[in-house]
Amino acid sequence: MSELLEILHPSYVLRNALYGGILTGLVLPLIGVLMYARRMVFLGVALPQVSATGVAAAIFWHLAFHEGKGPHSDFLIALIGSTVLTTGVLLLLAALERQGRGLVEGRIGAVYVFAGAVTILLLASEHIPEVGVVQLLRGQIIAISDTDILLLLGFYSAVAAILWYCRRDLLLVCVDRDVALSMGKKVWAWDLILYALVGMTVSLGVLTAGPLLTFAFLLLPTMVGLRLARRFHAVPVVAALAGGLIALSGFLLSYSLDWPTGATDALLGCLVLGAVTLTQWVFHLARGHG
Amino acid sequence: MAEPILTLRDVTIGYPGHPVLRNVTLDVFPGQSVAVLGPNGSGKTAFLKTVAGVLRPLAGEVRLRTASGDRGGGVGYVPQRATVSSLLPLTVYEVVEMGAYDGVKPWRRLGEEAKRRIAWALEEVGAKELACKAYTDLSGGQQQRVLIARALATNPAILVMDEPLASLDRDSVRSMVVLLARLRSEEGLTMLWADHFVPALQEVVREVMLIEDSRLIWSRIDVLVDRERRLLAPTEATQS
Repeated sequence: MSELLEILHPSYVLRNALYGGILTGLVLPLIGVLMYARRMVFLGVALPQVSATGVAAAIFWHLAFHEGKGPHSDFLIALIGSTVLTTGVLLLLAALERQGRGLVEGRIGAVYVFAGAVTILLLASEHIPEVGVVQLLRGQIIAISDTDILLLLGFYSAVAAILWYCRRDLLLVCVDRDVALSMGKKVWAWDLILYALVGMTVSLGVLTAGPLLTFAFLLLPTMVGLRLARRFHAVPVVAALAGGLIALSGFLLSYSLDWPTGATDALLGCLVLGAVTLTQWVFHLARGHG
Repeated sequence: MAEPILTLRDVTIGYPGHPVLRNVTLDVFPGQSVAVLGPNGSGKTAFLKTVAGVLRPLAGEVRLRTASGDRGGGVGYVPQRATVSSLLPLTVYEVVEMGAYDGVKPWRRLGEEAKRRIAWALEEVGAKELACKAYTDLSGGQQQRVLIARALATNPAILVMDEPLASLDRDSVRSMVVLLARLRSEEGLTMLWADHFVPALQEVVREVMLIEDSRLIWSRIDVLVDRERRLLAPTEATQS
């Protein structure tokens, strides 16, 4: 309890890391729910990797062609590179999916391998100082500043507001694309909005929390929400609450045990999902026999 | 004579680089109920999707006259049941509510009129008591009714249904036919549907479009039923 009070105190030295983690935990599941409804879950593994490649490529370009000089911070350059590449790859995959040829999962797997290989090769380049970029790729949540937190808050608030206002049409397009088309909805425009939101949120998530935790927050709270909610409109709320609580509890646990925050959060998310699944299974059995 | 509600002129239907029906020209009039019959892969679904605006025609013109009487809507499209994911905890009400999203700006709340339409659609298909149930917990026949309710909630000028009787047991087929016949007679709905099950259609449709060799051929349902009976007769005699 004293540790909880300590990390929640405004003078706590790592408070921004805590706030950043909670914000990421609250907002990424909102995107995760739509990705799940659109059957894009597998893409959730590949996108953080693509995002990491975007970070490495942008830093490589900045250092190789501009010698690292310029008015912009590494963080901003990494964010732009990551967002552009992630959104571009999403649009390319969506265009190929619409042609309806080949196996979608096969293409996503190939993208994952390609992105992983390119990231490693870029990191091996003599232009990139290893330590700083690896820090960016792991997520620099510990080093997050007051300004970054405000930016993160502003961006995530905008994402949450867009998702709230567009929830009906995004749901319809994700759940039943053909019916949306028959109603005259501009499905391509909604797809574009969805992909842009996914691309930007995943990019910011990777820079803040790293690829592993980004995927964990996209998937695990969403699955908890899908298990607990009795109607679909409640799923994002339950998922966001689960994500926020996992981020807070994970931070507290990692602080107490001196474990890495990202891996602790991800593991805790898995444990929560496992506990919810097991509890429901036990209830189901008890009711069946009762 | 009334103007046609749906007009197709020299339409080529199919997917880019893969046309399945060519030079389709037809008129569907208000209150008419037409079945599209053909074997698997003959282009029934592509035809319905083109009429519903899901697929663009590869050539020609599809025109839907939407401002007809008090039914100002467009197409109420009922896809095959499997299109709604069984992995999502959608309630019956949430599925039907999607039909009322038509014409509502994203930032606006669903108005009283939309809510009345949802309630009416649920009532019409006899699914009012199921509103809070999970869609995935329903039987095939009940799910089909819910998808029809969603299409009705769009306030359609024409109901376009893709195999609404597929994979249903005998009782469900019977009650579905009764429902569609009632919607036709009481609500005056224009209907266009694709199916395989000829005898069950008699109570709802008079005209049939047969897809043979990438062409649409008009026929009457009673002629088809007679033909089917004659085809089955020797088999029945042999079995007995």
